[in-house]
Order: sequence, then C-alpha cells, then structure tokens
Amino acid sequence: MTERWRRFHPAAIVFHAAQALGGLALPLVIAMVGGGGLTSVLGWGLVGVALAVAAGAVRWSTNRWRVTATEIGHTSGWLNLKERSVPLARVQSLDAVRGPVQRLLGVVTVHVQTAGGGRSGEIVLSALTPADLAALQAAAGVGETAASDAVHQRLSGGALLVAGVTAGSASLLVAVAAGAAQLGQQVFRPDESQQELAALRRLLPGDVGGWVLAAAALLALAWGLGVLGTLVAFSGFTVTRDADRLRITRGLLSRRESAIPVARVQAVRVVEGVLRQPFGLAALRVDVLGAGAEPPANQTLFPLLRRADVGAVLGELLPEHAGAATGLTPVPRRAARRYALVPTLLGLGLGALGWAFVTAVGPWALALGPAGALVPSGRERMFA
Amino acid sequence: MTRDSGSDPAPPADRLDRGVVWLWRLQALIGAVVALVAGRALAGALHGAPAVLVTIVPPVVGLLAAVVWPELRWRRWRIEVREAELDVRHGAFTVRRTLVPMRRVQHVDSSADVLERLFGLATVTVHTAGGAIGLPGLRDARAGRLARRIAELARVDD
Repeated sequence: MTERWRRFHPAAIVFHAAQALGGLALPLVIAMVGGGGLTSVLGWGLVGVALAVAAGAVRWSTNRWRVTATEIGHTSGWLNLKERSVPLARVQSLDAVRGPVQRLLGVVTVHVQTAGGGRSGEIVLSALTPADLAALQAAAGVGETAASDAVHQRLSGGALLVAGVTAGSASLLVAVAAGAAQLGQQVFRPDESQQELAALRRLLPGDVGGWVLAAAALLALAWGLGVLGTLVAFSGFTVTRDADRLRITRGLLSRRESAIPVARVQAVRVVEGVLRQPFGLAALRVDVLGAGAEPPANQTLFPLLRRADVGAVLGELLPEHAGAATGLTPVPRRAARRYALVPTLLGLGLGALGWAFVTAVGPWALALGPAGALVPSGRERMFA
Repeated sequence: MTRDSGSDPAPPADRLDRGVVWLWRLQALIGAVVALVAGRALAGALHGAPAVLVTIVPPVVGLLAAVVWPELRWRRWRIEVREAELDVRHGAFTVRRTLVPMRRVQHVDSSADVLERLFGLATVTVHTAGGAIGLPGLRDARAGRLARRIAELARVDD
C-alpha cells in the first residue's frame, strides 16, 4: 500500500482520449460531411483523433490517486482543480471493470462507490495495474482471502439462456411501440405532401395481416435485443460469499467484478418479471445505498433461479437476509376490485378524451379502459 | 437537518475568508456584463419603454448584486467543525442552519475553479447520502485542512 499521490497507468490516456473523442464526435462529423471529399474527411478525422489524444494525455497527467490506511483520494483538473477523499469506512462497493481494451493493456478500471449519489462511481480510477487493485481491495477490507468456508454460486449456460429468453425488457417494448406510433402518425396525416409519403407508404404493409406481421417482427426484434443484452451482461456470472463480503463477477465483453461488504446490503429483492412468473422463476437483487441510479445489472445478486429456491440460495449467500424470504402473504382477494377500478376509470377517462379530440379513432378509444386494468407489471416483493 | 437560526443564541464560530466577497463581486459583475450585452441585443428588436427597460434593468440589478449582496452573504456565513457534527449557517435572505452529523458524511471534495484560483480560494463540499453542502470562500491551505479534518472525523463506522 502506498501513501504517495500517483498517476494512473498510462493506459488511462486511451480511455480519456476515447471519452474526449465521444465529446468531439458531433462537431467532427459535421466538419467531415460539410467539407466534402475524401481528403477532408480523412483530414478532419486525423485532427479529431490528435485532439482527443492530446486531451487524454493532459487528463492523465493531471489525475493523481492514492490509498492510505484510512481513505482513498483522487485529484483531477487542470484549470478547475478538484480533490475528493473517500473514507474507507464509507466504501459501499469496489467495482473492477475489465473491458476488451483493459484486458489488452493489462489494466483495470475501478469504480469506488459510496452512498453519496452519482450515477457511476464516486471515484473512477481509469487504469490501475492488478497489483494496485489488490492493494486497494486489501485497504478497503474487500481483498481476496483464503477462507475455506467461501460459498460459490455460478449461473449455468442453460440458466443464462433462459434468463435471456425471459428477460422481456419492458423499456425496449415501449421504445419500439413509440417508434411505431410516430411512424403511423407520419404516414396517416392526410394533408401532408402526398408525393413524399407515397414512397414511404409503398414500404408499409397494405393490409391487417401485414401490420400484424410487422408488429410481430418489431416485438421479436426487441425480444432478441433483450436476450442479447442479458447474454452480454450476465455471461460467466458467479457470486461468492467470502467471510463478510459478496464478490460478484459477470460480463461477456467487459468483465465486472464487484466487491460489496455484507454490512452494506440494505435489502434483498426478489423480482419476478412478467415472462418469468408462469415458470416460477425469479431474479435476486441487492439494494446498496447510493446504487439506486445504477442499471439493474449492477444490483443483481443472482440473475435467475426458481422461486422455490430463493430461501435456500439466500441462506447460503446472505443468511442475514434469508429469514424474510418466506411467509409473504398476498393482498386479500377483495382488494382486487380496488386494484382494477382505478386504472379502468383512468383508461376510460383517457379514452373519452381521445374520442372527443381525435375523432378518427372513434369509440374504440374507450377500449383503453379495460386495457388499463390489464397493464402488466412485474410482481416484486421486498423484504429487509 | 435545517432549522431556523433566529432562536439560536450561538452561531457557528468561524467566518469565511474575506477574499470571497471580492470573488462574489467579480462573479456578479461578469453576470452584469453578460446581462448588459444580452439586454442591448434584445433592445434592438424592441421599441420605446420596453427597450429602455431591458437595457437598464439587468445591469442595475447586477451592480446592486455586486455591491450589497456579497457583504450580506459574507456576514451571514458561519462554519464550525465539531467532533460529532458540522454546523453551518448561511443565506443572505433566507437564513439556513444546517447540522451534518459526521457519521453521515460519505465523502469530501475540495475544488477550485479558475475564478476561485485567482483569489487563492477553494470550496469544500461535504456529501451525505441525502445531498451535499458546499462551503465556499476558504483559503487554499485552510480548505485542505478543513477537508482533511472532516474526512478524518467521518471515518467512524456507522
């Protein structure tokens, strides 16, 4: 362990340059397209890359980090100076990310999480050597131990596939539906210039069967993307309970290793998605302070298991939270009326408004009422 | 964590460094110049009284903000670091008193932008799980000491 302020591994220049290039992308593309000609495109491309590398080098040379017996420190900035200090006792989790580039260069990007807000880590150490990482983990008390009683769980290939197939990313479906609605509006607005739309219309299905087919294709696309996303995020998933910490490793292209002190786990969630309920499947998530804004994948304790096995798996990984996994009672049956009534009324109201203002839709808009009551939602149960 | 200071007899002990008054004045002046330029540009599109108003009002408000407001603000700003808590009082018009228990402090930043560096000043920001409070106008060395001390006091396990 060192108390000296040090620079990151020089590989950090690559990551910082890539970030800078992302920021430069829009003006560069405009310059490339606006200039015309191959030489101009190549020239601007070179200028952009050179600028990004220079920015990366400046950022690398102005970033320093250190870990002492009590805190992790990070300073950055050239004109605007910034120094951040995280007491080790406040570290919620240490995430070590090894993407393809990191693996190629033999470094690791470390996110230090505390409970104080922020989307990514409170400190992001762009490029550390594996030895630096080990020192950091040891200082934070989440280092590798030779504990013989470590419990190990891994996600099998078959389970990974099932997890992907049943992921059913609702947000993707919404995006696809919104896109389709937008397209529909464009095409069916009668008073727009007809010629331009005629070409577009020819691309669209002419009958109901065609529309159903198109919708099915879009859904299949969204579903396929969901499967792909799950495979990339959870490939090679393992979770280890090792003394008083959880260690989670996952990811196909980018390997992410998170170390979470068990004392930092606020709650455990059992999430049963729409597509998983019929098969009695569920996913386990942990709630850690400050990670609420992170993507769900970062909060996953186990991506897929049988609902019936939740108690047993928790008993092995997190016996502290296993007790509450059983004995949850559903809401009383007569509550169903109330659950259905409000969305139905809301849907009817919206439908009536739709009928009144968009006359073309007609009374069909009222169908929103019953539809509102059927809004599918993942069954989620939480226990602290 | 915020409570009214009116009934509290003993405000926190320490003031900000005096230089911050001039930093705030400079910031207000920059704002006034921007407002003046924007007002002139807008006045070109208007006629009569509105044109005069958009030309005159922004810089006048800006100048007032540069002369009176920084002084008021500086008088109100008080900080005290105690073993168990950080005690802050601030606000020129609405007075806020904030107590942050040290066991709830997550991490500490100290930062200095270009203008602050011109005056040799820095801002210390104390983050809790629920938000953050910034302590501006601290001389470099003092900001460093303060950040270190708060980080040290925050080390207790929660």
